[in-house]
Amino acid sequence: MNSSPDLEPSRFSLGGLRVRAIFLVLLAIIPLLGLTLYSYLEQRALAIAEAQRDAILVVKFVTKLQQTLLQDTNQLFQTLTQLPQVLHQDPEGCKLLFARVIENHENYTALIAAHTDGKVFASAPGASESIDVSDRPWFKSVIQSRDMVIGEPQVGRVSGRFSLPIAFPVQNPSGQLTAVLATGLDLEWLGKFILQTGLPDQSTLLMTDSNGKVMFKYPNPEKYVGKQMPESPIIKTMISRKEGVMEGTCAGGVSRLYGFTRFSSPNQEFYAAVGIPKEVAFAGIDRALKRNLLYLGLVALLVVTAAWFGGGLFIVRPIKKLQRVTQQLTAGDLGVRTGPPYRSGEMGLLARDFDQMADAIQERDTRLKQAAGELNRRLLELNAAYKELESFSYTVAHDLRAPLRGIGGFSRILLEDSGDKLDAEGIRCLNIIQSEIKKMGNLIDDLLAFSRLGRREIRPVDLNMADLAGTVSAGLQESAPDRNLQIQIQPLPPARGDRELIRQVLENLLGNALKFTAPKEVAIIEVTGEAKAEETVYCVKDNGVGFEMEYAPKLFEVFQRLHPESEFPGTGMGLAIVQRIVQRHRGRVWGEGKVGEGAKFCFSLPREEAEGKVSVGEQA
Amino acid sequence: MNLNGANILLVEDNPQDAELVIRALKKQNLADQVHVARDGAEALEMIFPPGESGGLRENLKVILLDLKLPKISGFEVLEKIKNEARTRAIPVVVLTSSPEENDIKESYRLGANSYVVKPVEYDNFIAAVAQLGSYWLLLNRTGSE
Repeated sequence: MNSSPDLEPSRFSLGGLRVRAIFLVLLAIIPLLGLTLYSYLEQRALAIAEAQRDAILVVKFVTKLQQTLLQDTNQLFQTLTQLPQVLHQDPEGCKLLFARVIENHENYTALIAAHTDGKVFASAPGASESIDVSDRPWFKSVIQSRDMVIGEPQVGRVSGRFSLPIAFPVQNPSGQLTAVLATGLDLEWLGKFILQTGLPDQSTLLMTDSNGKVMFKYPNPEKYVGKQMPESPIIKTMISRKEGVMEGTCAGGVSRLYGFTRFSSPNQEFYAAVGIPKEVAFAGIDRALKRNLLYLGLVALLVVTAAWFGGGLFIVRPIKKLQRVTQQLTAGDLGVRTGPPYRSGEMGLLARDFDQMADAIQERDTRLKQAAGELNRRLLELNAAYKELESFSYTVAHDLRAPLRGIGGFSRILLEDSGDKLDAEGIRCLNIIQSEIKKMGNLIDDLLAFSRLGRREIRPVDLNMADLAGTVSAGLQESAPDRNLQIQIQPLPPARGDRELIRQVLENLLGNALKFTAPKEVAIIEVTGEAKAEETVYCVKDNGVGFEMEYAPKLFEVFQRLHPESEFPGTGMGLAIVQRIVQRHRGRVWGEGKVGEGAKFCFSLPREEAEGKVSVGEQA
Repeated sequence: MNLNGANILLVEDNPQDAELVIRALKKQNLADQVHVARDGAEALEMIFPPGESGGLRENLKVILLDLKLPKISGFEVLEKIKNEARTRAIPVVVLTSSPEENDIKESYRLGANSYVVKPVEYDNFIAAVAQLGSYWLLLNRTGSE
């Protein structure tokens, strides 16, 4: 059987159909994976944009809130300055009033009232010792401007908390400055309040003025507020671009998306930024991605499993079956079939076609066997016929010769014993009988030799044709010592054939040449040879009497002669024997001639046989 | 049949051939020593006479044996002669018309001492038989002498 083991796919080999099916399935999943990743990146970009929009919205909200708070504070102060407790600088009344205000407004850390010299006369929450705020910048500023002043964020002396001081002048109806009211906007509260509006945990708020001074920061306002930080990358970008979005990493190492914008208070420009942690911004999308990848992985696993078992069931198994059946068929079991019922689809078609092919092969095999049987019968018949022919030849040899010998012998005895009683005519007749008997003997001999050629086994050997031709030519010259012969043997290519038979061919051809050059004074006989692509051709050419070309085909027939026997003796069998021998070597013979100018007879021997065997001989 | 004194046995079914052989031997003055058997059976009777010891074979110097014979073929006769210890030493010359290689091989396989194809031509035939006679009767020596 021809199934070589290296072609047999292992269960996991890349050439196996099952693995290929899985590859295909996985190929189908790749676009899904790509789509998932693409959608993830898309959503991430969307999330970034959204986070930035959120941040800007928050900043806008913050600035709005601040303005609102400032307006509220302004209104509060306007209201307070109209109240008698404040106008009359009544410490106790003010304390009660302030305490109530603080209680209702948790965004204020403290509320105080101070004399124009800076001495605080009322505060909430209450202060134990007298407090002087004359050194506070906001205080100086309000004395000077007599308008509401927002100071630098600081730790309040009354509340002890970090806050934004806001001061307001109290004036009597005549417009004279009598006292200063001040409150602290709770920045901690502000930060929390803003962030509670929907920003995620770990979000940050940052506000600066146009010089890069931190006005507000949440968380940890006390660490940054009031500091000049124009070189901070976030602040730098914010001030230079006024409004927009950026990404950045804070000192704590948290990566954030920052949305920033500019806003103006009556006398100053401010910048504010909201930072939302990227992790938080992307959390949902990342979760979705993980979920999608998990689903995709599960689907892939499921599909691969299905392809593995389905491929085995629907592809590999039928193919294996087909392969098994093919091997059985190859091994000679022509009756084997995949058999119906056939599956639908290509596998079924293939199995059905295979069965039809097997049918055809079986039918052909049957016919071939019948033909072989018939051939064998014919061969036996042929052999029998040959045997018959052989025994016929034997009979001819034995039974024709004996009477011939008798006729010859007794006509001779007659001549010997009673010759003196015969006249000259009687003796002439007896002599004719003698010579005719001789001819008939030769005819029988040639006929037998010819018929023997048919059953003689060809024993091919490598032949040195030049040597063979030389031997034959020498024999001829010896047989005709009185002739003037010029036999030229050109270089002859080697041949492969039966030595005795090919020698017979050369003998007959050279003998003919010798015979038909008899009338010439000098007989010129030339033997040539030429190796062609498929055969080797040998020719014997003479300068004899030649022949008419129209009779050329007849030359090779049994007992055919073109010249009267009285002129050139012979039975007319020579060329027939040549043709028989050459044909049995699967070669060809032909002759050319012209009356009075000579003849040329050629024969060819097939080349491939000679070449193959000769090369073997050379190797040995 | 008195076979005593004969030292050539010619086994030949064709009387003309037999006569030619005898004529040839006559020219050598050997004809009176020839006995002729017309078929294989007769030849075997002469060589192995029933109930008699001695007989022809005592003096036989050569048997000239044709192959194609009625009743019992020349091959069978040859085989019998060469299978018997008593007769194995007698020279057997196959004298036949057949130049077939198979016949030549078979004859030597069975123990023939010589194989001669009868020439068709009279002169050659006479010469061949004459040579055989002078060789086997005059030149050749057998153990019985």
